Amino acid sequence: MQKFFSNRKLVIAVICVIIAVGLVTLSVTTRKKSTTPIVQKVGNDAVALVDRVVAYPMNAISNTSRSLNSIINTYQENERLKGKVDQLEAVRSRDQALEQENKQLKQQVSLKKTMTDYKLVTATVISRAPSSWQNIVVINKGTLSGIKKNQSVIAGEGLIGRVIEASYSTSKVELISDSSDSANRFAIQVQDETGSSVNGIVTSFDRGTNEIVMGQVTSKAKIKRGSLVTTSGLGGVTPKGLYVGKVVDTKKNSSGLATEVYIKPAADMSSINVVSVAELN
Amino acid sequence: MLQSAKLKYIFPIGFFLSLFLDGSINLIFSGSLFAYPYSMVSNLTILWLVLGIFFEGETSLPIATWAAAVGLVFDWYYTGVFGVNMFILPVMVLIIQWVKVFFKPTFLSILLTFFLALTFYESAFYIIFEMIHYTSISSSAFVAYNLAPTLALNLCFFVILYLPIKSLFRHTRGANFRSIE
Repeated sequence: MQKFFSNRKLVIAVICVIIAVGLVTLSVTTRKKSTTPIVQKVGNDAVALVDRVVAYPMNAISNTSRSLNSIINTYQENERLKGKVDQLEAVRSRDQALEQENKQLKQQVSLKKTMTDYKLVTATVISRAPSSWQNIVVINKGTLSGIKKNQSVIAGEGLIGRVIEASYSTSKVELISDSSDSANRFAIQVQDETGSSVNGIVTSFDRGTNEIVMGQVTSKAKIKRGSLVTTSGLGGVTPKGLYVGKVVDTKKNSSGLATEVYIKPAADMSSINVVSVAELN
Repeated sequence: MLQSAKLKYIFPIGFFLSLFLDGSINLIFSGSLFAYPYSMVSNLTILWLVLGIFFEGETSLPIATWAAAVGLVFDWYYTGVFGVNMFILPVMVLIIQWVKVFFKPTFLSILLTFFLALTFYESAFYIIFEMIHYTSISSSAFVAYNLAPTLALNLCFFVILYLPIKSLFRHTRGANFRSIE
């Protein structure tokens, strides 16, 4: 015991602890800034290159097994989807007409940019951080494709998280289900029965039931089960109108003063392969 | 009498390979690994590390240094918070190297060491992130939903990979003296 903690080793140990604390503090402060330092960007991209080589055979195997699995379901799925395609065409043409109209109206009132003007950049997920309580994925697009820190990320149908670090050709995305204090703070809104919207922010993520919680809603408006929840665009960082999910339940909070709205996320947070990053114009 | 030890090169390559495999496995099987509320992650890196300490033989690899390097890459690439794995991993190596002289390296004793090492690693990782408020899980939820499933998964990996990795190390470490049977 005495030998293990000799004077010299003790000094070295203390120095190491100080360096560790310093590095952690430094990383926490850099994450709060709006850009990622160049050194970190270069390192991220270099490591990602090696990672892609290692992951290639693994991905090939998983893709093969997935396509084999989907062959079995193809017929039924095809029948079901055929029905949906017709509906979708109608919605799309209406959508186009509305967009056109919206553009003209905006021009008339000389409104240049609003929170609904965003474009999507599609990216593939390369890797997932191996720590069980964090939910961070690495995607294969970065600042070269126009991705910036704090942009919102959607997968499949709904919102899944935001970019926390943008390198040149890769980025890190923190999912809403991450247990970090800041991961799930998104400004969202729910349509109530009368057609007006109830604004609020995501206050927590219920890991037990896999639901998003919108707490501290003081509005007296009745929120129906099944109402659609979208981002509200308030705050100026997240675009307006990204689909979040559907209301499954409303409860009074423990003090009985505010309402908590439970939302089933539209995106499957546990398995994500392709994502889109929403860039505000 | 000593042959050239290929292990000198194989150990770090395997170390980094297991780091990237962890990320890849977590992504590919994320549907089943992160089935709410449980979440487990594969920790092949720790497995490789612990077996490396026990089976290095007379090669005397700079394991702590490699552990610091792998920890740095982990922090850099996966979490973006430096100084966490970079220090937990070498400290773990030093502790294991210190206690390994007290018992015979049998399958069960190495399994137990791996179990304790993984518990130490996950807990230290969690405690640091709890301190900087990057996680808000309560410690009881962490033990029940994160630590326990992760330990279960990795002990399975250990049982499956123990013999292959052991024979790989024995055939590449180059010493003429094979102490572990």
